[in-house]
Amino acid sequence: MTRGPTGERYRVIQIHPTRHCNLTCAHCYSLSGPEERGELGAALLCEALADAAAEGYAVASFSGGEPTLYRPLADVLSVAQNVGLLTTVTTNGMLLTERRVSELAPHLDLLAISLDGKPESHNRMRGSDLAFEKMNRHLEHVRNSGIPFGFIFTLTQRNMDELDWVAGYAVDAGAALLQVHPLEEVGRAISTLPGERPDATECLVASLVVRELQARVGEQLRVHLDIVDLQLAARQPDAVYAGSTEPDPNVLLADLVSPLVVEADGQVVPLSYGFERRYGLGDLHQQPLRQLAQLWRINKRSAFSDLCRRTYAELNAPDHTSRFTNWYEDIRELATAANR
Amino acid sequence: LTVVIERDKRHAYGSSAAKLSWEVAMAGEERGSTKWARAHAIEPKELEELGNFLEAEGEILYWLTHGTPAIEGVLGTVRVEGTKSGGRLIDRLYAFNSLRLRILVHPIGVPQIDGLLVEFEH
Repeated sequence: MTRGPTGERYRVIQIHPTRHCNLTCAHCYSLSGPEERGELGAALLCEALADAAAEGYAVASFSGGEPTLYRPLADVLSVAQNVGLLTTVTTNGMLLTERRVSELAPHLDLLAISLDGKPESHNRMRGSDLAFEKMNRHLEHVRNSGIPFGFIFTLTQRNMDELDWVAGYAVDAGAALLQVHPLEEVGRAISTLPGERPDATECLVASLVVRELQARVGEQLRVHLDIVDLQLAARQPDAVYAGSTEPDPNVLLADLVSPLVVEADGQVVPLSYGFERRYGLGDLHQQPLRQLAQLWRINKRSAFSDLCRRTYAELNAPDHTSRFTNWYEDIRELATAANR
Repeated sequence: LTVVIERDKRHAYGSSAAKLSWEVAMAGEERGSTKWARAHAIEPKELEELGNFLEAEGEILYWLTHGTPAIEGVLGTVRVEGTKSGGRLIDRLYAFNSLRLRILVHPIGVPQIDGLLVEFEH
């Protein structure tokens, strides 16, 4: 069995039910905003969730857009749990009123809240003077609900010095998780934040700082950095789908690709939002996920495996000097380059 | 940052003016790891005070600093005679501002304790 980047246990289907959002964040990979209105139908999503569970996925992760603006969210979360999936929602936290939290809480296993640094940095990235204040105020409702929650911090070229503050804030707030995700130059960040994604030096230092931070905070807070240590990956190529054994073509989809991403227009793609369509499964509006999965296994799995192995080979080539890298960005860039 | 980003609050990053404002705001801003290293650097004056204090109190058996160009860490071992000065020494080690020392104290001498070996690390 291949492990994949999300591990054997947490096979993730990531769902973007809408691109509608109350904010227009500078780093938004899906170009979401107040003017975006399209969304996925609840019935379509529920069927996809049942198929995803049958295909071996264990976690349904909802993002956006701002998922709390998706009206049927509580119902869809409930269906996800009923088919055996753990549920997570990633939100900017500004709309987590007591009522909304109480609607979601029974169907939610983890809430992830975006936090991009100290209040002024967070507000600047979010393009709103009220983003931090409102999120901070609503945390009380989250805490009272008892939903386990965490924060997601976007690491840029210039904000690693705020990681200490973010970790302290997370501990004080009672969070269980702090995920550090490097900025990727996709979506709005292409035009708004050119040159702001962390380079090899920032990735290296972040790896060391996160390790030290984890040792300092102990079990109070799990700190996770979405950066691959290539020395470790070289010993575990299965973790980046680059193992030498060819997987059985009939294995579950979750053994072949995780995260699997459902975009707001119904397109299903591997690994990350906006991933090159030639490696995608297709459109949920055309066929249900179970059929898209079957066709993908027959027609595209081999190309995807090849892409993973080429990415692995490039990252482990003698002329590749940096040890720490954002594999999701590396593979996305190679997929895009191959299509040019 | 001295430059305030001008923006339409609802569509902050939809316009080229907002993009320009971001670039102006970020111009000259240092990389995060540089700022992080500065924030975690040891003040040279305190490091000197630490060295002088330890020399006066006992015998420095080991001393190593690391970090370039700013010194980020120091570790070492000092031996002090008797036990009476041990408490005062540790109180002083904890009193530095930029030094957050982890301290291990080993008694020396059998059956009578005649000294302390103090390991410290920032």
